[in-house]
Amino acid sequence: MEDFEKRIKNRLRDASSEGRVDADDLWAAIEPNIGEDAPSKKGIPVWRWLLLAFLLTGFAILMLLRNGNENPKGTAIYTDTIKSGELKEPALGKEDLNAEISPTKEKAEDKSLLAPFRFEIDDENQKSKKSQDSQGKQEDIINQGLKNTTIANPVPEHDLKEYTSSTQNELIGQSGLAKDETDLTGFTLSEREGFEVTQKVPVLELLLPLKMENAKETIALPGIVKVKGKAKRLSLGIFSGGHVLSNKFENGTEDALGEVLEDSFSPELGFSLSAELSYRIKRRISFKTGIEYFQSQEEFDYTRKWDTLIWRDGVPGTELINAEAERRVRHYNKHTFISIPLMLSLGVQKNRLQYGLDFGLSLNFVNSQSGRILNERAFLTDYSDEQNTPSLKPDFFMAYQLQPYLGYAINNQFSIRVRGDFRLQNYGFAELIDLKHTSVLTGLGIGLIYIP
Amino acid sequence: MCREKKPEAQRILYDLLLPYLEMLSRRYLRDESFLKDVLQESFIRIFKSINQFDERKASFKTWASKIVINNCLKCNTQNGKVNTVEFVINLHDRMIDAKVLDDMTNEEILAFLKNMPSEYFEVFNLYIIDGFSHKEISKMLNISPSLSRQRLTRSRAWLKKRIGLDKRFIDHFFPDVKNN
Repeated sequence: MEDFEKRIKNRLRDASSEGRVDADDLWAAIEPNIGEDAPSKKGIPVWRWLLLAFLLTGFAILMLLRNGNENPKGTAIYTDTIKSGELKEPALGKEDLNAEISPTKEKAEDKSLLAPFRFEIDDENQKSKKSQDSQGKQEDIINQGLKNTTIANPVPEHDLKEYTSSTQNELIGQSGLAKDETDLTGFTLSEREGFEVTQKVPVLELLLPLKMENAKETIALPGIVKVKGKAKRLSLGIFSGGHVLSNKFENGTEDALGEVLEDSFSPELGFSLSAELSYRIKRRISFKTGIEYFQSQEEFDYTRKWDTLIWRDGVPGTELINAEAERRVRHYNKHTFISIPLMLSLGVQKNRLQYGLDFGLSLNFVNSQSGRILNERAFLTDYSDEQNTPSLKPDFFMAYQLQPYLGYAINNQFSIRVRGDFRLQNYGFAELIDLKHTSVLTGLGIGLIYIP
Repeated sequence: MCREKKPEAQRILYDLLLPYLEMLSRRYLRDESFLKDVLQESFIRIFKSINQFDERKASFKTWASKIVINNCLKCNTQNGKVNTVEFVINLHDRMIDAKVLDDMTNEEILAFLKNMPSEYFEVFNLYIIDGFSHKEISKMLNISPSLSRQRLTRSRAWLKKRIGLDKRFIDHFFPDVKNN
């Protein structure tokens, strides 16, 4: 037989055929499409993009409102289709197919964020600064994080000369003001008693802030002062978002079960909600933790085809004819889990714009899971923690995550933030399928950060 | 020169490739009435994406063949229906006489093999003649590797039952072929 196959291969592999198609006629049809001036596809008009965006938005809303199963009765689709002939696979108990697939309720994702650092500059001061070049430079310094001596309520240049090389204490001592009277910096003597002088700053340096290379971060307040114990290091955040999961199964079996499973799963939109707490360790580094709730969904769509023989017209004893049978199973698998992130945040703020990267790991606790899958013997099987069957995901798993973000400070206390979410979720070895299982979570979230 | 879209060079390449790709298309197409359409689409694709061809990965012929095969399979899927094909069960296997092939032209061999159920012949073509693996075939035909193996086995069984070629068989299928 092998010899026969080789002969066929040798005869046909490089064989040529001529005459079935008129070469010139075919070339005439090809040539206009391949030349320099071949008509190129026009770009998609804007209105089509808008329509697409509209449809996607509509789809997202539908996803929010939709029940888990496509079947209106909540029944999993589970069909046996005979493409040719009338082959029917042995009945598979369709009553089992009423697998519960609970609605896709909007659940949220929770993520934590930090306001990496924050400068307190009151709006009035900022406005006044913008009116003068020197003040603008001071603001730049603040924005560059170079400030150590942040000046608000700047003093006119001719007045400043009087204070060159002076400290505040000297000022207090020399001013001769009464306790309740304000000096040029806008503070009363009694207020000044709570301040600590941090540095002597010549007026010239105030006007040329680029020389302040050794500047240290302080909170911006009027005068050359630093307020003790007033640094605001904590921030709170709430986030919600959507995500999809992409499964990976280690492929170790001869029948490529892992590959079949990967092909069978397609991502569905999941939701999450989170409450987060961050603590600023250094100017640009924060630690972040919190609690996140995830509801994830995936579609399990498995189609099996096989060749078989059937009796013609289903009448036994007549001739056998070739047929192809097909069974398609579609099911929405879902699981919920609680995640506790432990992350570091690196962030930068320029004016009101914030951007940065959070990275770290999370401890994840699976709350519920149910679905349908091929087991280690490639048989369709249901799993559900409610029915105490072997589960696909473990009760606990670790994830490694990365969250780039972009934010906008609304005011001193609130900022909004949009962030991406990328997680490698390691579920370990799943006995149900006899394979190692991981997934990649990709998400997008939006949230509000509050600095008390 | 073809990469520079020079018409003369394109025509030369077309003339060189056409006989081979025509036969290849005929091998894969279930319905040869789509032959011209498939070849036209394939050549346009070949010339348009010629800059993507990487000679380090495969020969040009192999690269072009892959395009044609994919187009044929796509055409089969779009236009083909799974027809019921009679599967004659021979109760007695006969000895294989490979020498019979020597007396047959390529056209006759192809015509003979095309009597095989098309799903089997697709896998036979891909695996035996063009040397794709079951994994590759499963992706190209959107079937599982195990089904690909099963179809290959069935195609071999089909051949085995028919290659005990005797005069009656050849007279029936190839009346013009002389039987030694």
